[in-house]
Amino acid sequence: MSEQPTSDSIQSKSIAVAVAPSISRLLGVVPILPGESADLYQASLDTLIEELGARSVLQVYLAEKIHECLWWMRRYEEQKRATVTTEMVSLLNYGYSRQTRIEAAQTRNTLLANKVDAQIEEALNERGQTFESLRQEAMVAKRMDLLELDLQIALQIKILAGLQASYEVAFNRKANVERMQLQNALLRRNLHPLEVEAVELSQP
Amino acid sequence: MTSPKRTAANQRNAERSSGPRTDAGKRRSSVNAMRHGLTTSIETSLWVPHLQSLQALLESDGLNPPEARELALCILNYERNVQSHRKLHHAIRHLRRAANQLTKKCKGLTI
Repeated sequence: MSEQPTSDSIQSKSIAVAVAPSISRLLGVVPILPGESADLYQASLDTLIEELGARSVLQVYLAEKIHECLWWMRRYEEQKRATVTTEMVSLLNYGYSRQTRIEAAQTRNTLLANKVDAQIEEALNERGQTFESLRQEAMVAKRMDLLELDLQIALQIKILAGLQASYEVAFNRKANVERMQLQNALLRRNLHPLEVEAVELSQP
Repeated sequence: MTSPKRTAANQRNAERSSGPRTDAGKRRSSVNAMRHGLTTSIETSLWVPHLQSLQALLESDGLNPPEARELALCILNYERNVQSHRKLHHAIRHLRRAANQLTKKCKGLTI
């Protein structure tokens, strides 16, 4: 059975990562925006660094940048969701007087939590809408904003792919060479029982 | 269409004009054409104070000095573009280019 990481182990890992010299720290990069959890960011970054096995300064920097791209993609996805939800609430209130309007902030929070309360059900019935039709209408109304966010996500994906590829090429090259040498040795060993002589090709 | 008299007057006025005269004016007008500064060299940008320490940090990581300097320039350029990307709408292509430069540089490292 694998051991679950305790909060102490996460904390000690974070401290170890924080103490190591870092390019981002040198440049004073603040990766989180107001309202975001620094602990959550650090915990997820530490996990990625551990997964990639990043040890050197440059490895950690590339891991941080990869994580930043993933974080931005998550942000944009959340932004898309918030955009559609806010528009759905606006559509529910469109053309209604102040007295008959539903409370926007509360409704938005309910919808963002993937819930539909009695008030929203009633408003939908009154307006002859279903939840799906309202969402579709909101997406059509906000398509330019969604397109813009999709472009940003695509940009982050492109940067992410480049960073991942350079991490692979720059740091896993040695590991790949060793892996190939081991595979060759294994092949050579397997060829002996078949009485086929392995021929070493000289490198150009 | 401009009359010959008007053209002659414009030319006379232009000859009299000598542009900014004070140092402050010259300094100010020297950046008249600058839009966002993302294409200027890092060595003349506000990021230059970080260059030396970043290069030293990369050298401590096992890179040779010229490689460390080039990589430091790429990293600073990327960070400058990331910062500007959040503020400027049209900075996408500059960020993409900076990211490409950084990834190419990392791929070519001899570690």
